[in-house]
Amino acid sequence: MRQAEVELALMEFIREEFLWGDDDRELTESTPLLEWGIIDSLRTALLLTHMREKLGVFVSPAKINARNFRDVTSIAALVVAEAAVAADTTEREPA
Amino acid sequence: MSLHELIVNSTARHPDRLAVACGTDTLTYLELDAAANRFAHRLRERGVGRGDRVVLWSDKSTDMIAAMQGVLRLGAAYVPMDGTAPVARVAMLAADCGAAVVCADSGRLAEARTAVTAACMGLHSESTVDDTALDEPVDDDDLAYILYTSGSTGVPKGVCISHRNSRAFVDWAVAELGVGPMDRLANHAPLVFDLSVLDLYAAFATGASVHLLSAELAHAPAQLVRFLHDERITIWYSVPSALLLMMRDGLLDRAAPDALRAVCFAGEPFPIDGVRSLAGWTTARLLNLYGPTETNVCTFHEVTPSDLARDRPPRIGRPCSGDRVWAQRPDGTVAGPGEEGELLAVGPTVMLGYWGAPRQREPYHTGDIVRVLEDGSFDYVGRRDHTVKIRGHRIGLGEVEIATAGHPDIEDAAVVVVGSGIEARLAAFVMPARGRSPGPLSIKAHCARLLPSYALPDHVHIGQDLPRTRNGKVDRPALVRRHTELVAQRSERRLAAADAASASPEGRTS
Repeated sequence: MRQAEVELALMEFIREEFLWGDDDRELTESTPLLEWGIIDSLRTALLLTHMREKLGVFVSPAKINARNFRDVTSIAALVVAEAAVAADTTEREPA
Repeated sequence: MSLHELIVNSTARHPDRLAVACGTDTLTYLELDAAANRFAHRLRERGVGRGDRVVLWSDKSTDMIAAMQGVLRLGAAYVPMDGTAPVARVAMLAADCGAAVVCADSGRLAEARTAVTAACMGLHSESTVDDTALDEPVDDDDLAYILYTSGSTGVPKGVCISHRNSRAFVDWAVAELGVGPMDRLANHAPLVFDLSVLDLYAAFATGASVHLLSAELAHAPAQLVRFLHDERITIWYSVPSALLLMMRDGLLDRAAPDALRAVCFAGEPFPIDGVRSLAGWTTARLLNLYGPTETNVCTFHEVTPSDLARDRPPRIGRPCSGDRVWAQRPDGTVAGPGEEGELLAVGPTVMLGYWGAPRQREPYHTGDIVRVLEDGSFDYVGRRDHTVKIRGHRIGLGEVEIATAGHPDIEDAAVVVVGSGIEARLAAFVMPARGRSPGPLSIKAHCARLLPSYALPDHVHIGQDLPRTRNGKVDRPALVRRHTELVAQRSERRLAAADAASASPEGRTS
């Protein structure tokens, strides 16, 4: 999974679901999402569900912190890292 | 009787038991006790002593818990601030309470120094710092902590809680729930929210452990369900909306963990369907705790089978924590069975007063309307004023409107609640200044510098006028209707766009 693709998918989701489409195109990869109240704990839940359903990534509870959900760039990095961990674990599991 | 003696006593009895866990960070009682002493020594070097206030600005962490205890050990009071709170709000509240020192976690310290006039200090204490015991004597009526709540007048109010206030509630909760050293309590609520007082101090009073949930996890249902199982939680306490979300996202799919023996909820009415589902899933006790921040928990009710047969949320029940409560009718007399009135409370848990205001000596008027039931217990009916609650957080709409209208490109603003229960959201309607066109995100950014995160507008509608009633007040019901229309228009447009995309060949391949 590539960082840039995940960023695009996340931007699209956040714009559509939380920002009424963001017609003024104000959202960027570095917009502080938590700080500006664009996502809160409830919307983080929706975002996590979206990542689970659309990207197949389950984020472990220990990784859900303010640093990892600061902006689109950090969430995308988290998704890429969690996907890599999951792939690694699957490979090592005996068939 | 002090709040901090709880950990001192539990450390003597259970030095090696787990006291607090946050993610992979853990502290035993011995380690927490030492960390609290180190923090107290560092504060004392900066001149902090009895009666001072210390602001603690941080995400939840074991350092944060140790810092709270360190402050108390100097006879001082802590003022917790969420990590998500904007620095301008931290600076404003630090000035309001005359904080001697503002402590922040390492990621926020530099920012704190730019905005705060008081001395700033990092939250983390290196293990080389002196950890000999510090334990200043305190009086029962000395201030232990201040919790800032959103005021209906637009200015946050600092609720001052004494050692006596807090202990009266904690001691009641420990006895009612029968908390013991084998218990594992979840801490779901933010530390600025009075629900957290039960989680932390009921654990510390008995040598039990408390397991902190980060702010972002607080409403991530699948993760919460996993946490409940993995951490083998025995006592859960949260707003009903968190439990409702968990039930929607997997809680009921797995058998209830055997360890879970009490589920407490507070902060808003729990819809009865949700309570029924919960009661069908677990044999754990279900307890509804009631009380604004100003009174701690002053009434409670344990859910019984007969409550599940009623068609309304569980009652708020009978007085507890040594308090006396009653319903007062508009004419000032005490309401009897079948009658409604405003709930008033007096007793050991009722706050000292608001910071900077005279001592609270009269019964506290909660602003909550209740109905007196035949057995003398109470049903919650609604609010007297225009404060609103969103997922348990009390929000003064006036404060949000003032902050929004303070944006340089905005002339006027009105804020309403749209949706209900866990779906409740704040919608701001703004009238731009002549010739200006502020973007919704710039308005959110502006508000985020002034308001706590739970009070930020979720939807920002930029329009040309605000509908008024005949006497010139903003017509709030009309704004709620306008929001509903805008939502409907947007979903129509999205449907049309989706149709167009699937009809065109490019749409099919992309």
